[in-house]
Amino acid sequence: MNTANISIERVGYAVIQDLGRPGLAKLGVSANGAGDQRSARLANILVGNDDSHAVVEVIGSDLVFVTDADLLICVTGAAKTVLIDELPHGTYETLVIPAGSRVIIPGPEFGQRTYLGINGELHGKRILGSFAPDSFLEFGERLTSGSQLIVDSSFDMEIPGNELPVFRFSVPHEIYSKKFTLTATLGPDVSRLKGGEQSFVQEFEVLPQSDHVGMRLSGVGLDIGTAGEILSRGVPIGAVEVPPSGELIILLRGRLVTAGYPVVAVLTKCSIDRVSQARPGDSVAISIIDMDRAQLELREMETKIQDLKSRVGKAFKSRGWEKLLSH
Amino acid sequence: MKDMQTSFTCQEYGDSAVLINIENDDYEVRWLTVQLLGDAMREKTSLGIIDVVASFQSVFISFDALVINHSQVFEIVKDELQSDLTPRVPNHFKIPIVYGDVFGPHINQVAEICGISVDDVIEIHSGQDWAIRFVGSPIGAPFLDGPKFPVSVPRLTTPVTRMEPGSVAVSGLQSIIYNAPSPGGWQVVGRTPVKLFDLETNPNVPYRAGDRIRFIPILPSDWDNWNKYFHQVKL
Repeated sequence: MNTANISIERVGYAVIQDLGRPGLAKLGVSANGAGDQRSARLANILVGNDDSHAVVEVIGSDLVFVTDADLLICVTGAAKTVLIDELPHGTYETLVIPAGSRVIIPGPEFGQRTYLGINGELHGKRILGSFAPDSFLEFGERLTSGSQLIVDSSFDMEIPGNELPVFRFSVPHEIYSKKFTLTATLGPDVSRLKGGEQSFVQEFEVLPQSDHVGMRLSGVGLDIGTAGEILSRGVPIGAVEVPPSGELIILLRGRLVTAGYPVVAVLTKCSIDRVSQARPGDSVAISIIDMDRAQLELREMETKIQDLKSRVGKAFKSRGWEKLLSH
Repeated sequence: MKDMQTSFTCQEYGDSAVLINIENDDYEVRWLTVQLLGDAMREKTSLGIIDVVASFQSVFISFDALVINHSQVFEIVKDELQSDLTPRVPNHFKIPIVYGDVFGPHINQVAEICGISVDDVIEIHSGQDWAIRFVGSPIGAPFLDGPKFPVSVPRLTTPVTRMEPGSVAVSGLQSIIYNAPSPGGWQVVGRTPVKLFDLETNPNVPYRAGDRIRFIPILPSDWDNWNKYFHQVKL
């Protein structure tokens, strides 16, 4: 086992992140975790880690680092390229980083969340079982230039078959633009919407007041009428709420576990990942699908992830890299 | 949870959750049914249930849609609602609170809205036990009944961007304690020096839905004597 010190040379906004704290809603603890769960999982899977390992989540900025030991990394999400000692490499690829290399992950043109997976275990503090920052728990530390990340990994250049590119797994993934097309199923309060399902046939704009708790969207105001307040009740991540002002709020992973606005739709799991990539000013279209299709979409996504996991497992084993695998 | 007057509705709530609404004319029966169903569903993690939020009259249940689906969750809910209602034995907690001033910046406003004095507000708020209806966000916040002010106190017209941790706020005929710095729209009448959410204890909060809280007014000068985690406080 090697211990690598990764020195961050330049960064805008980045944190150590994982899949968050699902299952603690009974304590009023929000799920949080990687905004784009699928990309975070893929970053881990492609370096042989279990999905739940810590990754680095970079939001809307460059990340530049130098490592003092060999690393096996993968970059997923919004970034389009990875420069290793100035040579460009692909994202969604398993990459070998020799000790002393400088790695530059340029900030994305479209989308905002980039994930860096590193084979092994990132050191860091966990609260309630997770690395995920949580503002209510007053937990989570932003990486800054000068920050050091420490990783324990079994990977080093002595390992056979380490020529670049190590592997090229064909990984189906999202291509982002300024326009996001989302799918959702109807919510429990859709009947309060004057325009019914037709209300969604428009493009909404992501407003700057958006954060990890909720994304605010402007558009033609939705008419929710003046029916009485809804008593506080549990709300899912991805709930599309309409406050009296008529704008839309999409609840994201930092959402409080209860809320009292009408919920007119709920984004599909796949679309929650997708929308987490939208920036203020981007446009969002929501198309309503039925539950069977939503579940099919979810199962298809998961099948692809599991298929990739098994391909990575086989490929690692074929090179004698069993000790690098934890998935 | 069998009760002839209790009926319920099941709604799909996205691809991985359901919302169960309990209907009964009696508020207490409705709430108790919700809580007991919530407890029962929290035991079902092995079946793919992930999160359960039981509030006033509904139970939110999220699940792993690769393991279980909406109709299977509805079936489990139906079965659970066939069992008998056993009321809970409540625990009682006393929570020290400093009313007014910087600790309760909206207390004058609340008094004015109600047409009573600040002392009356304090007397009503600290004068009896309030039931915890459920535990919610932010972290471990108890949602309480009461206080019985003469009028229903509205929310702030402009929400506050940061409530200080320990803030005790009212809205309508409800009260909440913010355990963490948080934005909020309720009117803050006081603040408790006691930290209710403790990462070092299991469970992280000492109370659960159905327990009772009594607010004990203290002086600002006593703040530091109480500035501890709840489990370290002997009342």
